[in-house]
Amino acid sequence: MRYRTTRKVPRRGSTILAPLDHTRRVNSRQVSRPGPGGVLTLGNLAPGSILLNEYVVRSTLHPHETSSPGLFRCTSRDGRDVLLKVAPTQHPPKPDLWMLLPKLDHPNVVKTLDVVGHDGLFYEIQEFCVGGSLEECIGDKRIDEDWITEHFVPQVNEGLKYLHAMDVVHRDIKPSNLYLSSNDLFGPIVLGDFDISSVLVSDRTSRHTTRMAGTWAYSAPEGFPRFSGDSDLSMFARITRTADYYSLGISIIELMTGTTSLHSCGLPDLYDFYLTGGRVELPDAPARLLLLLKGLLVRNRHERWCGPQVDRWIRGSNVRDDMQAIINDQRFSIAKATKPFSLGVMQAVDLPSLALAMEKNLREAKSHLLESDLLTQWIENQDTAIAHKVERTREKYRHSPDLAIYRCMMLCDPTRSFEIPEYGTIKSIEEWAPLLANTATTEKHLQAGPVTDLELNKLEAWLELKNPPALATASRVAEIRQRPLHVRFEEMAFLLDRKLKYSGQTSAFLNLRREDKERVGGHTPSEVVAEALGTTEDWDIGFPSCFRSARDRWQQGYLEAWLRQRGMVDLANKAVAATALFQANIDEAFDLFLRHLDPWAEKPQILFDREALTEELRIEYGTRATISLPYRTTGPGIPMGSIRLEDAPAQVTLDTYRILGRAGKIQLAFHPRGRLVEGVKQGSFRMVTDRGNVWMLNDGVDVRYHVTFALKETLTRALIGASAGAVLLGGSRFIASFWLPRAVTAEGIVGAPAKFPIEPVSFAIGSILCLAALYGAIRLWLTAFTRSGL
Amino acid sequence: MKLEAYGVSVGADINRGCFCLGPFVGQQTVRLELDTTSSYFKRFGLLLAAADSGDEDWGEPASQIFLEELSTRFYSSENREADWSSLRQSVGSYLDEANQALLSRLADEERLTSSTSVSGVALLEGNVTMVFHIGNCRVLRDSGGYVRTLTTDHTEERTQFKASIEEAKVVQVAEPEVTRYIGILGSGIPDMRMLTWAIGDTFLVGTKGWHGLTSGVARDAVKTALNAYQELGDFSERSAREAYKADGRTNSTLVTTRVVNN
Repeated sequence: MRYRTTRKVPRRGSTILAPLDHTRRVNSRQVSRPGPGGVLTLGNLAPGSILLNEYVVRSTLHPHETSSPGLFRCTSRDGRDVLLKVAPTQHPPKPDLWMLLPKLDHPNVVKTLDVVGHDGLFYEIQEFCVGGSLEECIGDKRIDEDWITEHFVPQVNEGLKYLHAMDVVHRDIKPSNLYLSSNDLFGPIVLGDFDISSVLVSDRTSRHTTRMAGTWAYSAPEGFPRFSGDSDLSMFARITRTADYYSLGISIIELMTGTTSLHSCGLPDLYDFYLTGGRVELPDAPARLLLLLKGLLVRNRHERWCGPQVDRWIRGSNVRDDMQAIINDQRFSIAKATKPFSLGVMQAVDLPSLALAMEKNLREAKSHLLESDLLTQWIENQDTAIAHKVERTREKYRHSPDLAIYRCMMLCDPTRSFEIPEYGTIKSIEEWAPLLANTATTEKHLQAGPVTDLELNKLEAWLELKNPPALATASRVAEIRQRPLHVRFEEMAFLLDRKLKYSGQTSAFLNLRREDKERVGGHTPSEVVAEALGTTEDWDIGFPSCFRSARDRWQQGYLEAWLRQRGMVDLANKAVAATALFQANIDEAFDLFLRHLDPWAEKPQILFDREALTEELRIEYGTRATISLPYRTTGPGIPMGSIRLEDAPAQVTLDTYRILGRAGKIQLAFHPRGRLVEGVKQGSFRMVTDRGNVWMLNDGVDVRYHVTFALKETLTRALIGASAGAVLLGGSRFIASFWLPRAVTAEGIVGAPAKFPIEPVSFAIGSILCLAALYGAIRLWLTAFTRSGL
Repeated sequence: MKLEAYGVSVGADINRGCFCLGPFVGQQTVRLELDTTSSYFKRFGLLLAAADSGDEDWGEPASQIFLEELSTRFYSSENREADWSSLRQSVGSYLDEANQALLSRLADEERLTSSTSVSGVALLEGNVTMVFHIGNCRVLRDSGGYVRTLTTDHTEERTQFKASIEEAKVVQVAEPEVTRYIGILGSGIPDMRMLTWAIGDTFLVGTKGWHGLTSGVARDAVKTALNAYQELGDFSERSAREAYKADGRTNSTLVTTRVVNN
């Protein structure tokens, strides 16, 4: 400590010199010794005033008064932002503490840069905490159980442990004396304002004080003189280290709820409150936090939780003695106290603490629940309705001990968070999917943990039994539990996040790991279908990967899962029924599924070879001709459909009418036959799409054909007919010649008399055939020639 | 589903316990299998009961008489339509009638002055189980590896030794006096409990010689044996013998049934 008493200062009442820089210098106090006598207060200081000849006042945070300290935000010569605190004149600092302040050096204790006694005033120069006090943050939504559990309590505990190790008792722990070093709520928290702090030598746990200090609502019972516990010293209050922890407990409640049940009490009320054995009302909070509050608010200072117990609480390893302190405190206040229930090293005093004890001693708890009646009897003493539910639970779930014990824990403490082993804890169901997606290495890992039957059963139980319950979601989770293991996470994600997009290209697991803007996929069926089908350009260069990966995900059931969770179960079922027809060809089936989802999705276009159609088809009369018309497809999707003919004559039929595949052939069969009618030498008809997902430009294509006469065939027929007739004629004579009396010669045959009995018949038939063949050929040729246009 | 059931009674030649396994009442080892879809089960269900000899002379005939009377009544009326409340009433009346019948027989036979305790379980269609007991015979149920005592002994110090894992710690205390029993001077008022049965359940009905406060095998030993012997017959035989060997003073009678998949 430095007393700057050597610096000459003007006497009181002398003129304040106006410096050239027009800043006001505050150094005109006449003091003889520290104390209130004759020392004036600084009051409000205008910005620019200079304190201690080196600190330029930027603003007055609190005016300096006789009974309250002055707080001035200043800038030092080296440009540092500091808080200059001037002790109230009526309450000069305690010398022992005053000397100790600059030595305090801890991340969670405000740094006192210097202490200066000057002109009878006592200045503390401290680091300036730009974040302000936590009092200003009350009501901030970010202050929740997690923040208190993981951020606030550990830091304040460290600060208090340090102060107590330095033999300093703060005595005024409250939100307004806890500061944020930075503007970040999650930044360092420091303990400040040691105005009423005391030094307590390390070998003592308490000492008397005649001055009751601290803010009443935050004071521990022993801070009130009549609660010191020692009758002979009842006029004194006590200074104890554990009182700081009691104040910490009150501060936690205030940070959570904005107030406490004591804040509206005056001092007489608080006297009565503690005299009648009152306990601070605890807020609705998770059991773990309630446990801490109960420990901190133990009224017996000897048993109250302080540094070591809070450390153990942070580690989750409180021992039996810690629990015993709470039990003892309960006994003190609750006339109806029952014998605590022992589970392992823990002893439960109420249902929430029983739930906590069961969680920590699962094996023993299961044995108690499923093998004996002691647990249910103990619960019955606490709450008959809960006991009845526990009894039913253990009977119903006796074949699933893990589930039975979990449901029992939830019945005992409906405020419990849901713990996903190895992944973390959630407070609301909406956190489930993001937590898993961001924690798990791969989606496969989830299949061995959070989406197993047991874990989903537990989740269902949590939703059903938590306060408030989410029964509808619980029943949906039960449905999802019936799905294949690999689909469950994704379906759960779709259930819990209504805005989560479905993508055929990536899983919901990966989508959830992205920022909202970077997520791919669609919200509506048409968006999903469009993503799966891709663009015409994608299909022009081959079978697109977007379609392939979307098909694979559909095959695995992800698309149906999304449809189910978006209320399109009927649509999904219809689509599934339709695709059952195409089990052999999965691509066609998927295309059909997509087009059920979005009937207006872009369809593939069928294009026929233009050259094949522009050339007139020439068909020979009387012959069967098959013409192949190659087609190809443009546009997204797998074409499926059929072609039909419009205005086509009966002699034209479609051999192949189905469109299957991106490229193929349509086969037309022509068979001009029968009686040719005058004028039918040329023909035309249209090929149009009949059914399916395909379309053609102008709704179809025109096909024209020309029938030509088959000259060669006609001549061949005539020749064969005539030859047959001739052979028949000559043959009869030849056969008859075997019965001739002499050797067979040409003359003999011709000149032989008709001896063979059938000769006239064969002769007649042969003649008729010959003539008929010649006639038919000539007639056919003549008719065809006339009509072929040759 | 089907029910596998075994009945075993081990003890000295005189004054042994007696059991009822379905319609069979006796002391010799019995094995029974009953399909739960069979009309027999649907009509009657399955009754298992074990009666002690009361550690008194002529206790054995008394238990046999009681179980015969009980079995006759149980299997003479169909339980198909029984709902829970009427079933409770009817089983209660069977027990009462059986006790009355026993009392009349005891009055006829001068030597039969004994009283004893009984416990039993009736498995009925609709997954209904009726557990009853008078005295210190017990019914245990094994579900998923956890063995729970479904009855609380009718004894004077009953609050001191409620079935629990602490039971082993108090096993050495003096045997408490039985406050309810059947036979001479016994009230014969049963405690009845309605529960359910499901696949995997094993019901164990035994006399105090098999599993009692100061005799027989402890519950942990029962658990261990159930894990060790997968076959219910093996378990029943060995457990009953082990209990008799451990104690030797009184008979050990055990009736077990397990619900298994076909």
